[in-house]
Amino acid sequence: MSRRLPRTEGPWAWLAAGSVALSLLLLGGLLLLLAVRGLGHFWPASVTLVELEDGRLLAGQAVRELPLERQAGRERLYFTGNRDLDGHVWHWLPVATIVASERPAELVVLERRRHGAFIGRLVAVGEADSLASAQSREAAWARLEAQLAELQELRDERERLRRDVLRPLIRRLDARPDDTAARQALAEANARVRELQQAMGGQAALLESVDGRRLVQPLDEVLRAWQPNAMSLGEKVGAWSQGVWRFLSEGPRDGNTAGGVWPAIFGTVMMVLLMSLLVTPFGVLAAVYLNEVAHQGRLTNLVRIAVRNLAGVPSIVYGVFGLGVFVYGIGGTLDDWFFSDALPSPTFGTGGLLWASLTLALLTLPVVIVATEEGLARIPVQQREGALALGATRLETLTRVVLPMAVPAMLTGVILAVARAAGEVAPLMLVGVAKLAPQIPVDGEFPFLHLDRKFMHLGYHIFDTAFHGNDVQAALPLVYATALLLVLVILVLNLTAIFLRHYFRSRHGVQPRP
Amino acid sequence: MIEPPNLASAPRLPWRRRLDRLATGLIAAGGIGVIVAVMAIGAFLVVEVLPALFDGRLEMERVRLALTPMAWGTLKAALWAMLFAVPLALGAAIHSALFMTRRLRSRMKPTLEMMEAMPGVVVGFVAGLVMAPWVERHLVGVLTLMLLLPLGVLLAAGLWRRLPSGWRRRLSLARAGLWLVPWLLLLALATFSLAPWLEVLLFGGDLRVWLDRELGLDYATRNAMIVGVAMGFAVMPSIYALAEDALSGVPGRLGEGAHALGATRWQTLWRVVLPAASPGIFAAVMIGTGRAVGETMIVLMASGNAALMSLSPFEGMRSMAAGIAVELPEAVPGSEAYVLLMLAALLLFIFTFLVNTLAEVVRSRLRRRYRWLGGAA
Repeated sequence: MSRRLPRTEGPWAWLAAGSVALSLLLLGGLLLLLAVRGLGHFWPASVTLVELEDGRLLAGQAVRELPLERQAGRERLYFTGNRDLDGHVWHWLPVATIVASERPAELVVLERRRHGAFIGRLVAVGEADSLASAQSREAAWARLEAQLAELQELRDERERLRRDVLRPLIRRLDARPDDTAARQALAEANARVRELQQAMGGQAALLESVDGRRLVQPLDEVLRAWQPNAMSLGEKVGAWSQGVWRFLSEGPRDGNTAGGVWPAIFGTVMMVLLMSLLVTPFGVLAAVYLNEVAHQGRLTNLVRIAVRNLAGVPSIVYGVFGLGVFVYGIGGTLDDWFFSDALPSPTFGTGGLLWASLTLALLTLPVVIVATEEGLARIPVQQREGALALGATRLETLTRVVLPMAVPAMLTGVILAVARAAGEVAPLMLVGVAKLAPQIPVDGEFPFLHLDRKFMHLGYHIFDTAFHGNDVQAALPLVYATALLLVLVILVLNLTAIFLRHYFRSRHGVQPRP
Repeated sequence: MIEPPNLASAPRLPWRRRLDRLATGLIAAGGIGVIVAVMAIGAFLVVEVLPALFDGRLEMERVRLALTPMAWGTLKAALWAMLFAVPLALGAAIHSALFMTRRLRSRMKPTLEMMEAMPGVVVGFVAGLVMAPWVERHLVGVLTLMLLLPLGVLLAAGLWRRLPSGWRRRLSLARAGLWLVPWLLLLALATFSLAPWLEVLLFGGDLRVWLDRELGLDYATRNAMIVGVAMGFAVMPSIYALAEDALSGVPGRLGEGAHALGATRWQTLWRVVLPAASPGIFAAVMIGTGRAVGETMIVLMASGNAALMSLSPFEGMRSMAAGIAVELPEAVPGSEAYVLLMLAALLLFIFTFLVNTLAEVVRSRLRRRYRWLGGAA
């Protein structure tokens, strides 16, 4: 009797399994890279004090290590800050030339409004003109923290004044220039702001880089200060979560290389909201027409296939259409008719929020139509027959029976459309996205929502910061963080859509098109 | 789809009928309007381009000079992307349609569909700014890995046959898509730690110098290979999803018949299931090609955008979509450059629309055939 050989599948089956594994590996690798680099940026990394062979001293955060070009050994990249002292913020050091490295607790990192970060020692804090006397390290640090907290309060106060008092007064004066009461109030508020400004100045810190150069830093330019080597794990976690929060809630600084992405989040959300307001009714309308009203013949089927195919047309083509029809065509005409006093600078004849939303609505219409149609086709035909048999008209059948049952499908379609729109960048480059929009499209000025304004967008922010920035190396961590944010938003939207579709299918079962 | 009953016999409620007529009319008008608006895209591009072509504003010679490199770049990018994506997607589709357990499959499909949702700008950023410089430094390792990955999988298969049967059951082929992940990771780590040694041994220490000297190949940091992998990553999920649908839609009786005659699963696949599903797989590849041709951000960010005409995987290119995205905002409406870019957009539109229509027709034929096969068997 021959031994029974195990039935084997041969090499190709294993290669097929390998391609599944490779795809998973690629996807996981991409997500992991984004998560680690994006979230790691906010961690207050330790600062290393490095002594080199030639006696130079450097303090900085080690970023990464690479093998040397055409030589044995490795080199390490340090972020050393101090752009005002050194002229640059990065140092590549061959590892072999490093004699000693330690992490002294007294090193401070200051985040400043100008020149970026400072890394070094704190000597003294006090009035700008009497800084000579050296203080003990603890006393100087405690004083710095107190001063910074006080400054933050003053800054908040000034922001509040500007927002709540100054801007409304200016608007009142714009409307009625002879309003003397408002004029007086404005003068008072301005004086108060000047007072606050004055209170902010005056204080300064005497800083010393690790190689002994000193500089006097006015404190009103310092945003935050920390001593990373002296922080405990809990403090670091706290600083990390504050960093994440600031990234989400602040505007960009330093040519998009620092600060946060709040205007980009806001612009993306506004654009997507407007787009879904446009796409939902029209998409549902077209789907209802195709599935419930139109005669189901060859022509309808052709139209159905064509609509489905439009989902596969490249997004850049939609962008070209938006630019040619919305911006130059309709926008140019609107400018000629209503905004001719502002010409030749265009109002609607250039890219803006409205045109971007319209273009993306057109781009995502096929998605909504296809998803809604699928939902409508799944509704058992008996439901419609029952309603009609009870004497309902077609409209009543539609609004009372068919549409309520198709709501999850519509929702799925809209969510998929939103997920697609949030990730599209190419058409936006043609119809209205901006590198840096100082004004977000919503404010207290009439008509509150400015559809003609350009806006910032998360996806375009990634492209622009990564490819057109001055210091890509410095901006890279923020690009990672922005990319992670965008991916998370889109993944959550898609998961919701998948869940909804699954729920809907399992509830109604599969009904093939009759 | 269902005609309402004739309500003429109920004169009590004429307003309901009138309302119904009105609403139906409105829905029809609105629906037709929306569909016409969506279809207006093609009409708009034709209207912009055709007059310029015929009234001599655009000379054929200029069109040829301007569009040939871009068309070349588009096709080259799509070609390299498909070289990466098609084997990967078809392999994954075959594995998950025929070998995976139902439970694992229902998890795997959404996961791979997540890949499709990855925004192009993120993939392009990672490819252009992270992967491209890294690959440039580890070129030998990357190229070796491309050769070694399939061999490594086969090695795993060979080792698997020597495992005790308990282990073999635990690490079954049905779950191979999962447990091969750490194996591949291990393989990659080993390759990269051996690569410098290999580079010294085979290429005199620097592959890029060797390529230049021996083969005359120039190496650009952002090149077709990077674009191929990145865009392959982006289009692979849509090919996978459609091919998987086609494969798993093949009526089960066909496969069962083959199994009953003693065929292994792979033989069943190769001789029975694959021929039956081949139109669907063709459609999947067509739709993938359409996506690869139109993808903008990945090519823009990872290709270097130099209008070169070469087939070399180590040189960049400029595609039509990227060209439009970069140049159109600066082109003056009505100028020659503007019309040229419109022509490029029209070509993209026509190409993708035709490819998708072909795929859709093939798919609907296939669905009919499956119904017939499933019913008649």
